[in-house]
Amino acid sequence: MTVLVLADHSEGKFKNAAFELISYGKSIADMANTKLIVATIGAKDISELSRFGPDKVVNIVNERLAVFNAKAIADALSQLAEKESADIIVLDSSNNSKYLAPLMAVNLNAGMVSGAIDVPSSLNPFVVKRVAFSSKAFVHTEIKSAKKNNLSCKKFLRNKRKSIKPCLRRLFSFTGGRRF
Amino acid sequence: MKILVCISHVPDTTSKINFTDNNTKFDATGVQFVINPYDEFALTRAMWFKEKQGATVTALNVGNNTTEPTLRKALAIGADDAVRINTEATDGLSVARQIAAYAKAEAFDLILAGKESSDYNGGMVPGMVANLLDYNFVNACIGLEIEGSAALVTREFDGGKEILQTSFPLVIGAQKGLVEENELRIPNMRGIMMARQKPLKVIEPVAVDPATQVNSYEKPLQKSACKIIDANNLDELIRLLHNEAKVI
Repeated sequence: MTVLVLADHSEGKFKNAAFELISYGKSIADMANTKLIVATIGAKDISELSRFGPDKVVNIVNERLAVFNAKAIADALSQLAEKESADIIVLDSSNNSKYLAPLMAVNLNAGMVSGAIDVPSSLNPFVVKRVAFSSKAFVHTEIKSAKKNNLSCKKFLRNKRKSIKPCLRRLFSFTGGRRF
Repeated sequence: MKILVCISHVPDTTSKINFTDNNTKFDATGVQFVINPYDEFALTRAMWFKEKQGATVTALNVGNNTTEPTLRKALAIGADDAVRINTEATDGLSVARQIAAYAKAEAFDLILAGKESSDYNGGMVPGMVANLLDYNFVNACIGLEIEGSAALVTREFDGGKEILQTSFPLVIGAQKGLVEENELRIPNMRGIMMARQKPLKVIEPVAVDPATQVNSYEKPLQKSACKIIDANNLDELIRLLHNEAKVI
């Protein structure tokens, strides 16, 4: 079991959301006492990703992925998730990620939650808080194990980028300086 | 061309949201339900293809019988027929599987759905349907033109937009911009009367295990009153930021 995070970049420059997302993934990996793997597509320099504590960084380089092609990228990331036995996959909430996430969820037969704003309150059962009703309420959603013959149970979590910073701040105050 | 428009039955965005049963159930008391606004963009665009290019439009909802007024509204707007898959819509993946099972049998050329619903904001159904059916898929669409066997789709991404050419069968995740807001249609009396005569078929769901479930709901904390601190009283400001706001 591992946690897989997609670090998005624009023309080779990683977005702040990517670093926040890695920190978020790291906190989940710590909770689950497992490894964090960061995936990125066609990045030129991945050294700065290592500063946020991943156990492994995978840079997927392929000509077909040079231009955003949701189906091809979703397939490549799904293959990586299978290969690395990733049970929890975290994407940000950019338009591209919203494009990819449902495709990956079907590929992996994974339950999916969008708009998560906190680390999971529980890993077993896997419960995460997310926004709903156009931010007028929160929902505590349980992702149940999806069954398929040769697939391990997957849990799929897509993070809401705009909510990461407040979430960081709140955790910081509650946990005495521990960053996720 | 056969077009399927997926319709979600959602609370009006101006509705007050409340929960019952110790915050484990949504309280529908007094809530006005409407067509999901993103689906309405999709439906309006489908109407354009019906009127200009002779397409047939089917409106589809996954839900129990309380959603039928919303489907009737889609018929009043101009859909040719409607289908309700008779099961609670509890989870994005299971809804997508229901839609895919129906759409596969009916062989639609184009499936239009809002990019997300305004209640649970999942944003997953159109992409999942496309992948389950192995259809082409474009999300966050703000433009759609059909030229022969090709579709020209304008998609929004962070920081720009791109125009893609793709083929059918195709699934579109619609959003604001696919049609202008002033093009949205309000059903007229004739449309409402005709909608009563149009077929609304109820079909039973396929067996699907939901991948997620709602355990509980929570409303955001009320915003506290704004405190004005004198500019010369920095100690008090720091004390409040530290002890009350807990941001330093």
